[in-house]
Amino acid sequence: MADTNELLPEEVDEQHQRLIRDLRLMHRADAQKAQHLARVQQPLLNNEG
Amino acid sequence: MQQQDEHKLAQNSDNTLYERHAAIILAYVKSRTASWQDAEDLTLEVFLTALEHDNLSWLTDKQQLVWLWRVAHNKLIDSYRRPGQPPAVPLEQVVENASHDEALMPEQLVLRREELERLYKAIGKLSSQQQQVLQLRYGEGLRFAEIAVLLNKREATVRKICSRSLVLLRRIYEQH
Repeated sequence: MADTNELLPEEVDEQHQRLIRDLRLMHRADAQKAQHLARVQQPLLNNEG
Repeated sequence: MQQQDEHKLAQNSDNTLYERHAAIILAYVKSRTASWQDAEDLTLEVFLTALEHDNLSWLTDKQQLVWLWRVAHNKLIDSYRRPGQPPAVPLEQVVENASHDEALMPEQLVLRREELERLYKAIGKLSSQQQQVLQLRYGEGLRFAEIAVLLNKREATVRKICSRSLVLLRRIYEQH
């Protein structure tokens, strides 16, 4: 993810790690995201061609 | 021949534009729509609009992202789409993911479910802006500078919103 300067103090704080892990679990991006992106790109490629 | 080369150049530049920014625009649109289908349709509309503008390749990366965001934002307003209710992943799916990732035994799963349900409810009490920042940061893994562009705010403001949300959630989360 982000470099050290990018991180919030809370994101490196040991006491927040459990919460942050669960937030990632809770907001986990759809595993099929690459497929969503490919589906959007296909008509664009057709449009250009 | 020259015309073909120019066409190829434009096509490459449009592909690069898509590869650079589509994931971020899709993440933003998804954070404000209820379904992936809506998010895909709207993202497609944004990049079709971009195709009609030949001059985007002269912009910097950040200027391109701001331009795309403005188009996405206006299309969201036009379509009267409003933010969904994040977290976008249903609780049952979250519990299933936790069970799989952490290889939980049935009795551990009951406790973990209670814990996650508590967090789920706590997130629901945050403002929609706080929820959106958390989703873009922890769901999509975006940098604060990228989130700032998408939410039309200063980076320092986004960092503050995220920081306060974390402190608030931790307080609620650890009350039990």
